[in-house]
Amino acid sequence: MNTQGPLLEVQDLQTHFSTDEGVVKAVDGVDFTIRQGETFCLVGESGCGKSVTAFSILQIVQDPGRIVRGSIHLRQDDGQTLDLAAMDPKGRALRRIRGRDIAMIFQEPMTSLSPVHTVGDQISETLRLHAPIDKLQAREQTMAILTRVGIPRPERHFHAYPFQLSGGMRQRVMIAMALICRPSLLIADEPTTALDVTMQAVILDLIKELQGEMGMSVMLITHNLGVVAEVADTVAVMYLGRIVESADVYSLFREPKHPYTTALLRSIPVIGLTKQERLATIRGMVPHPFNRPHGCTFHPRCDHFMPGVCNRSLPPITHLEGGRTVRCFLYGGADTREREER
Amino acid sequence: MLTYILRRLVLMIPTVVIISLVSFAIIQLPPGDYLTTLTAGLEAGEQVSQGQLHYLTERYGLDKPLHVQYWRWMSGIILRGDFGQSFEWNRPVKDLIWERIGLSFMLSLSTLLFVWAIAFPIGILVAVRQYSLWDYFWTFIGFIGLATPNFMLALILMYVAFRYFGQSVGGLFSPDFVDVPWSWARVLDMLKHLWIPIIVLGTSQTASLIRIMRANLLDELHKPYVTTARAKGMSEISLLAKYPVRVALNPFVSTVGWVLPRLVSGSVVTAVVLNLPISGPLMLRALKAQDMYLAGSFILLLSTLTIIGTLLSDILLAWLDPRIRYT
Ligand SMILES: Nc1ncnc2c1ncn2[C@@H]1O[C@H](COP(=O)(O)OP(=O)(O)OP(=O)(O)O)[C@@H](O)[C@H]1O
Ligand SMILES: [Mg+2]
Repeated sequence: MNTQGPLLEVQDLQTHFSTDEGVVKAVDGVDFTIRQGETFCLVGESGCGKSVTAFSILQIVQDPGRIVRGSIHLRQDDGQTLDLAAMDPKGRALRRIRGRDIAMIFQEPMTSLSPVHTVGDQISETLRLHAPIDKLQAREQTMAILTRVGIPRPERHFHAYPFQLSGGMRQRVMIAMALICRPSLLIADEPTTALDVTMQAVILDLIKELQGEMGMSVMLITHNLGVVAEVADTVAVMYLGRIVESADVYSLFREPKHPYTTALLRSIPVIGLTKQERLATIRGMVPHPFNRPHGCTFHPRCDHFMPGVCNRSLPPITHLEGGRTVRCFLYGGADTREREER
Repeated sequence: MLTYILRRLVLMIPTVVIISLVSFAIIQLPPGDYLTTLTAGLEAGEQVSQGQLHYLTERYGLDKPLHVQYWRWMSGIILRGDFGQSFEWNRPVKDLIWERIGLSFMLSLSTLLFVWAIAFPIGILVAVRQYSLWDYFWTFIGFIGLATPNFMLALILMYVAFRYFGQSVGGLFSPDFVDVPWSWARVLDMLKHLWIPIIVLGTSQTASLIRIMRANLLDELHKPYVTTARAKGMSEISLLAKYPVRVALNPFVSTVGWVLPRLVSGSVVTAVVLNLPISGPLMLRALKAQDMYLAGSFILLLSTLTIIGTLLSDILLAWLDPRIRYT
């Protein structure tokens, strides 16, 4: 397999929803890369655009969402790259990528499965869409993957309906459905949010294990920094449709650069906290999508707000040592801007 | 599935028994009965023979207590298929009702097929193209369909059929075919007449079913499982047919339950206006004339058919939706 260059390279992705009340810039210029075999975590508060970013990669954003700018380059097995953002969302070419090269699992394992079709039917369907095999072979392979994801008595559960399974089982079914074609990238959009804590760990371990076996890359979306610390290789922190900081997981936790990242890390509960040391929260509120602050969108909530700088223009992406990036005037970008203005 | 059906069938038995009791009670409720009227007529010197009166009283136990009367009526139905005598028509009830119920059945079934054939594709179209020109057009037509009273629609269509197609209007048959035995020519003649009642009876049902289909499908179209199917790489058409339409199908199946009871009661007004030889008008008349066995038989059949209709649609629903089947 060709290992030149990243598996997925997203550049300046912008996905907007034009509604009657105005345009929601759910994703407003996002850049990131995912390398072969790594686990890439996208973190951020609810509503910051994580899901829309993920859905944009497969172009399955719901109406009226549209990719208005940017490119999404996927490297294929033969070393060639394709720009997914430029493809027709309903076209055959993109449909061949979905489920085969890039597969996805979702937050709600109950509603993400059809209530009136059997588990076996829904899993084998993915396979039959992408591989020229007959029903019997599809059935065999489905049984194999059901066993692999830890579903007992697969020959019985093949005929089960989603509502007959527990939440954890359903998420295993989702994983089986996503992995049956051995995709090179698995996008998991908060796969454990709807599960209890023990189940969360089990499911994450399962994904990790299968990732090792199949050598795929994983894009994990979460708002749980504990999960990030456990599974991520690289992390991107998202705020209001933009990535404000990206780094490898060690550097990010040891030395967060962006004030938003710092604030997020301070809000993780730590065992042994006394009553006096209350858990820190980020002050202020997430601004309304139609009323985003000018300049750096985080400035009204920021502890390092520099009047006349941060509220004036959008900070550019600054590249730091170790391949890290940050979007903040504390790390440069401000001087040049001021010189330009003079 | 089999146990589900068996359970439902067993549950049906006591329901039917209770219904038969209630129908019997209902026909006994009003003061006086046909026999009293008949006796009065006899005294007034009308052409009713004393012997006939005696025979009827004897056969149906009309001078006996109520439970005996009930028992004679029910055992007649169960053992001999004898629903009693229509006093007004002076004929056995069973001779009066079966042909009418047969025609009603045929009419309801064709109306249902008509309703499905139109509402299904249009319901899907307007949901998938929500807020498009098509959506507004069919919404408009649908509301007109819902708002037009059936008798009005019937009059308009009869006028059109008479004026522009030169058809004999009213009824299900041309004058030549009314009282002849069944033949292919009679069937053809009936088909020529059938379209008016089908449109009259089906329009408002079609309109409401389009609305139901649209609303249901719109609910389903944005469910996460549709996104899942899309993320698998399915084409829009096949994922639409396999997932959301399939789930939105339930209200369609429920309509099967409407058909059977409508055979007997439904569409009385339309049937009167169009002069259709179906059961509704006859039942109305029997109720007004206190023709007890005829009215009672209609009520009994109507209720039983309602139960069977509900059972059929429940079985279909269970077959369609595993969530019902397994709970
Ligand atoms: N169908 C839509 N119409 C209009 N706006 C939308 C639509 N879907 C999403 N958005 C907007 O996109 C923004 C980002 O939504 P997204 O679902 O990506 O958030 P998220 O980061 O995944 O949050 P969560 O953690 O809650 O899943 C939201 O603020 C929302 O206003
Ligand atoms: Mg989300």
